[in-house]
Amino acid sequence: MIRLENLSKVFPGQDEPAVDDLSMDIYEGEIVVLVGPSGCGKTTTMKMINRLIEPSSGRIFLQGEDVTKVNSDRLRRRIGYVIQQIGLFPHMTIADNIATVPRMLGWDKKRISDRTDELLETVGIDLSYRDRYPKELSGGQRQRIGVARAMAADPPVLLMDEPFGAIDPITRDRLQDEFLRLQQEIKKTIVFVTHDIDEAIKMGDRIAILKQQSKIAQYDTPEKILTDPADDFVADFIGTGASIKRLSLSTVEDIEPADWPVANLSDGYERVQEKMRSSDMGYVLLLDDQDRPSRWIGAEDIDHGEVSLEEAGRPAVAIVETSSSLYKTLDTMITSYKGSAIVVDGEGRYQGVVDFDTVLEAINAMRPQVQTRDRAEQDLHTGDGGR
Amino acid sequence: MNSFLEYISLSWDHVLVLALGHALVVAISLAIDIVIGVSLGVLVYRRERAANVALAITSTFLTIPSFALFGLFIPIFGLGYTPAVVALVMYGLLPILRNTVAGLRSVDPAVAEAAKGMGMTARERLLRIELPLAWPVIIAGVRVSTMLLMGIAAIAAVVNGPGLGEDIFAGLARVGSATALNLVIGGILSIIVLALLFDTFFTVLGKLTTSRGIRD
Repeated sequence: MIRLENLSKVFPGQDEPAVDDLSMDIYEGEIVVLVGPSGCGKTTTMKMINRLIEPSSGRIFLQGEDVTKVNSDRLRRRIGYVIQQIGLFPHMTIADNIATVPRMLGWDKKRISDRTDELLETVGIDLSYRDRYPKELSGGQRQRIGVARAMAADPPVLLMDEPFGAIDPITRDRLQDEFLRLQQEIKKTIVFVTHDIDEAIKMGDRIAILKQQSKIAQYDTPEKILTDPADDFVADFIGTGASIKRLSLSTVEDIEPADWPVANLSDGYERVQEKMRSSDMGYVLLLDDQDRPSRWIGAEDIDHGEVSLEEAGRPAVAIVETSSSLYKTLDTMITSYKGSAIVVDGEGRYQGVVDFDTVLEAINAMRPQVQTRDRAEQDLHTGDGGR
Repeated sequence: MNSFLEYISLSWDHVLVLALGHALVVAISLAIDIVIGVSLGVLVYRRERAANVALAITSTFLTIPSFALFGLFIPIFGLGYTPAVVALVMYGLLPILRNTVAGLRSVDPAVAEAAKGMGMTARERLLRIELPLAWPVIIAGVRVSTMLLMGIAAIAAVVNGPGLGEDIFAGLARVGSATALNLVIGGILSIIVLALLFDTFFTVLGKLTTSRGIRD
């Protein structure tokens, strides 16, 4: 969809190029994140795609067409542009802001109006905001409009320069989630610049880790970058906790839950005691009549037979949904009583239990390349060709 | 006090004619100032050196004593309307030029970048984004020029120019006589009334033409 060919940019008065001979392919329908330390040229690179910064040399191809020399104003009407400080036009209403590019392209009033309503719904802004002004909106709302405005003419490509950088972390998290959901539907080709590696991992289908002068250190999927960093620079940039970060990319669905004994609240003592004895776990999970986890019962809780099942043991609180990431699951487990988390479906019904052992197995299974590399190194040292 | 009220009741039509002439010459000069000032501002606001030169020249105009400037124009433009307007245009230029430059430069860079990134041409950006956003500041400059010109226009009487200066100078020439004070005070009060009227007009115009989104 977008091809950058030997792009370079030298700013007047500087010895070193800001971007040095960068070549890169960005595939259709993917979010590609350009991430790297400050000053590495990632924003400069992105701005060369819509020629806000003209390349010193090299070529840019958009959908196969060489756009390096075409009229840049017209080019930009085909590319959506979202910036960190948002830049809504303060003297125009929300509707007029969104209508900017469609008007430039000559759409008729009705088409523009319909599209505006559609976009407001898509970005989660109430239609009553059409005639309000940017100063009446919060930061998060303004950036939603910023995104809507960029998508107004339905461009195939979106460029986003740290779009959520100026927004508080809670709202940022929500906007990121919503944007990812949106992308599922619209499948745009998106170039996203950030300095935050965690945002890159969360948002990117592919991440380009850039060094100074926008030299590519690694351009790969987040999984591969986390499990197999190309060099020390990448490893350092990811920072500690790469394996933990890797966990945020898998969900609990991906792993095999452990086998825990389960009974129903209505089953009665005998049944529960039976289950307790027949397993070696020492605990039984009680479900309610809708199969939702209710309480953990230990052997000593029902020995005496004095307390009712509803009050014996302790309530089950460490619960995650099947769609939760392993990272969240681990987080929940740490606070649980026995280091395990109960997995439930969308309606809260019991699916299984995962504990530290099962998560550990899953982590180990994710690192085949690393294991192979370690083994190969080992062989080198011991001088064995094979075992 | 009594004599002044008597004077006004007798001569109000004379004062009114002069006041209208005064208002007209200021209005014409302002109109020319707005055209020149805003156009020049648009041309130089992005170029530091050109802007500095333009601002320096127009500032210098203001430092020339008006009496002297009007006098200097007699051999060039003769007497009457022309030298008056030329001088007034020169005096009224700085506030409008300076505020146009300041207003355009005060546009939020993020807004300007967003507009460019969306594919607006330079002309579209100027007309649809930058000027509307700079407009309140430009109008403020026009109001300052208005006040300046109201006062300076009175001096146009030295070149037989239009306006209330005629009465003021006539009064000053006959200091000591009965009518002198009335003439001068009548002239000054009329200028003040005119100035307030013009200022109100521009304030209201400003409010009406400024988008609700940027009005405080």
